Amino acid sequence: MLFNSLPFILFYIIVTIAYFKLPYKFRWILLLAASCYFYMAFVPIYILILGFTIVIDYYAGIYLEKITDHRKRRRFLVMSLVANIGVLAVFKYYNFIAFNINELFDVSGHKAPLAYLKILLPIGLSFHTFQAMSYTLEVYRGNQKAEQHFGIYALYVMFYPQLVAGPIERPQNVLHQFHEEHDYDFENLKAGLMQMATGFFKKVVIADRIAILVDGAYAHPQTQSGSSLCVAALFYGFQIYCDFSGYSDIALGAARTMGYNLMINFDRPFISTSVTEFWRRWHISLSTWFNDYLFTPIMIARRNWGKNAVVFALIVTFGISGLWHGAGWTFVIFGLLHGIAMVYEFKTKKFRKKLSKSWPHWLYNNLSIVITYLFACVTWIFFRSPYVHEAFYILSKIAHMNPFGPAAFAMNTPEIFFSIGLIVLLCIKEKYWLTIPTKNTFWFFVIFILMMCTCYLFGVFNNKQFIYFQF
Amino acid sequence: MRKALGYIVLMLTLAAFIISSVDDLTRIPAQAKYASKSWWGSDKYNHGDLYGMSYLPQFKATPHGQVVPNKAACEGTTRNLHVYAVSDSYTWDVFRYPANLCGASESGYAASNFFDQLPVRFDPTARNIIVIEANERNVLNVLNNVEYLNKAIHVLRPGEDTVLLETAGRRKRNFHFNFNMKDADANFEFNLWDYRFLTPIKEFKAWITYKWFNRTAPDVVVSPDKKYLFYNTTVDSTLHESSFKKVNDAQVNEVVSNLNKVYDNYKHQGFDEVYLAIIPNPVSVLCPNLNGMTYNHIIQRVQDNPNLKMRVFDSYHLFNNSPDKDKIYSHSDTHWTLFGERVWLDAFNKEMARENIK
Repeated sequence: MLFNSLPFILFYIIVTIAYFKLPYKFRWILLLAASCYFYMAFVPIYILILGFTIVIDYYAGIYLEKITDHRKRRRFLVMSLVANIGVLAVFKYYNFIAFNINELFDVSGHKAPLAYLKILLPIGLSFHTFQAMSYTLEVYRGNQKAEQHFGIYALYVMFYPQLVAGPIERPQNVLHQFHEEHDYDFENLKAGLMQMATGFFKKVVIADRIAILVDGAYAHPQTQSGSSLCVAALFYGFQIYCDFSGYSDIALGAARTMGYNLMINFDRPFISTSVTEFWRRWHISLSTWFNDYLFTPIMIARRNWGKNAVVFALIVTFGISGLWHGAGWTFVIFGLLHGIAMVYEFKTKKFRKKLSKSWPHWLYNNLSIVITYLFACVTWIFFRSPYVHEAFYILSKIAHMNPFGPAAFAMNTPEIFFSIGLIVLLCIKEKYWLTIPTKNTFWFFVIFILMMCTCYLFGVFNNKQFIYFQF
Repeated sequence: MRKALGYIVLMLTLAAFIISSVDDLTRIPAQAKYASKSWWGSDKYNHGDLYGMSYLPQFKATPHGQVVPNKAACEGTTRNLHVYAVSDSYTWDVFRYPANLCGASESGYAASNFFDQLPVRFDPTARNIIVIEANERNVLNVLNNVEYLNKAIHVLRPGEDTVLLETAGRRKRNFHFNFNMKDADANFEFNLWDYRFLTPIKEFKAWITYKWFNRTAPDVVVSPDKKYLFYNTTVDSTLHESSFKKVNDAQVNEVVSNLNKVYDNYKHQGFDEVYLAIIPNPVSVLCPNLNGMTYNHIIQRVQDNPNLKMRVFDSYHLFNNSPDKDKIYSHSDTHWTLFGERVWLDAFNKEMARENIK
């Protein structure tokens, strides 16, 4: 079920009202049933995969807490991680691995040994798998008590607002909330609804509008001029931001109306002055996940390498982070480019600090913001392109473009300016308010109704899936 | 009070959700909504189906009535024809009543878009004719579906009960719940958003999007002279239904070969003649070179194929050579106008008059 659809709006109203009408002790049943339904609205059979990992991780958590023998505990942790990564490997990465092995055989003149699986990637697989893994890891580390209630644990993995595209929650933040009694709170309702409205606005008015131009350019890059592709690459950053942060806003808002607080996933990434800062503001739940469970453990394991440990950990973490996004070399390159940029920033930290002191602050700051955004746009070309060679083709066309030459777009000039206006509006809003304040009820209603009307009148309704659903 | 309001909203939304998730539950209020003239009725099909997809106010057409045949064309014919059609919505009105057809004492149709079956009692004393009618956009799918086409007109054996069969317009109810919300999306939109009192808002949105951004709903395309709406599937050259999709000779031969199988089947059952009537897409007649694209001429390539056994009723040349071809198709509908329907019916009746004499 897509958030930007009428079925979801009805579903949300039903679940939220029913939630407050039910006695506390039955609410987890409602939320779990609703979450199962929400997930099954995509491909019903894939609920079995979720069920499999939930059962494994639930028991792994209990045993991890019960058993004191270090080696046995480690074995249970590995079993749980293998189950989760195994599901990912089969459903997400098998065909990618098979393709690469087959290509190697092909190059060496041998027959391709591996057959391909004809399966559809379960929606949001990487999100709920990572969330499940964070539970067993935290129980193993002793930071979280094992959840004894199977239903509550299942709800932790399946809670519908964040089931298919995050935020990737930590058990410490969210598990205890499912045990708490949440009363109806008008302030929560207003804040949640406003955040949802903001999310809808970002998705249907900005992201899906910009997608018209971007999709048009990326569909046939051979027929596009360098300047058209350049504009599409610059716009894509805002498309993916509005698409993904729009989803997160709706998720956070929907949870908030029922009294649940999920972690924020975006914190104005476009004001980042470095790639390092960008990853502190972009997809926060994923970058902190990698920081906690991959980067830091690698650093600790290789601490005797000195500064090289950081370099190694950054490259490995970002290479895997790229692969997390999708089973393709384009995603690996996307991740590695970010890793390399962070290594560069790490190595030049002192030099850049010195440089910043010799330049006027505003100039250095704004220039850093622009360079960071342009760098992100270049890496998103790999993210958006279906093939590596196509990404390089687009980059070379942009590098050789005539900025004053003709450019054809899949939208007319007024709509391009309208889109730019929307982006400016978004940047102004983001600069001052991460979320729109809702304390004053009168202004809440005015702004909320205005946003909903704008969403309808200026929204692009083409049933476009959220970009991150594919991960 | 607030508690009661909560329950009322819950019940209403739950009812709307369930009704929208089940196709046949949605169909129950749908008939009343389409027929209603009041504020809660639907404007989706009243002013042209393409208008109902786009809500562009400049294409809001007034509904037209039923086709009336030119009685003079039928003068002197006796009624001994039984004419049965496998047809789409273009000709349902034509084949519904025998009175529309020269020399016909029996007529009926199987709706091909619903895979309906028409049960008929075969009368060897009459001249039995079958018409396989398809809109151009369905040539590659419907006309290739031999299995369906061969079963669409079902000759009843003595003692066989007609009531047991699915007949045109009377499909079996299917109350299954749509888990996949994409399938149910149209129902949700219809139940929640398709009311006459909301039409001005929809028209305003469509107007803004078209005037400012030169875009329409993705299902429709505005003709270059801005007089017609075309159905996008008939225009988008990547789709099988398009008049501009490249169709190779092997694909045409496959259609002809499949039609010959259908012909053989009905001839074997004792039918006297099997006609093929392909109704052109509006864009094929009105804008065959739309946006510099090239029309694939699939109708002529099927009809003129020397291996085709069926008798052809040539609608393409009838419309393309008509001095009034700009009046044949509706400006805001995938179908023809009443005028176009009459032109087709009169020409078809001339053909039936000839059959009647045989």
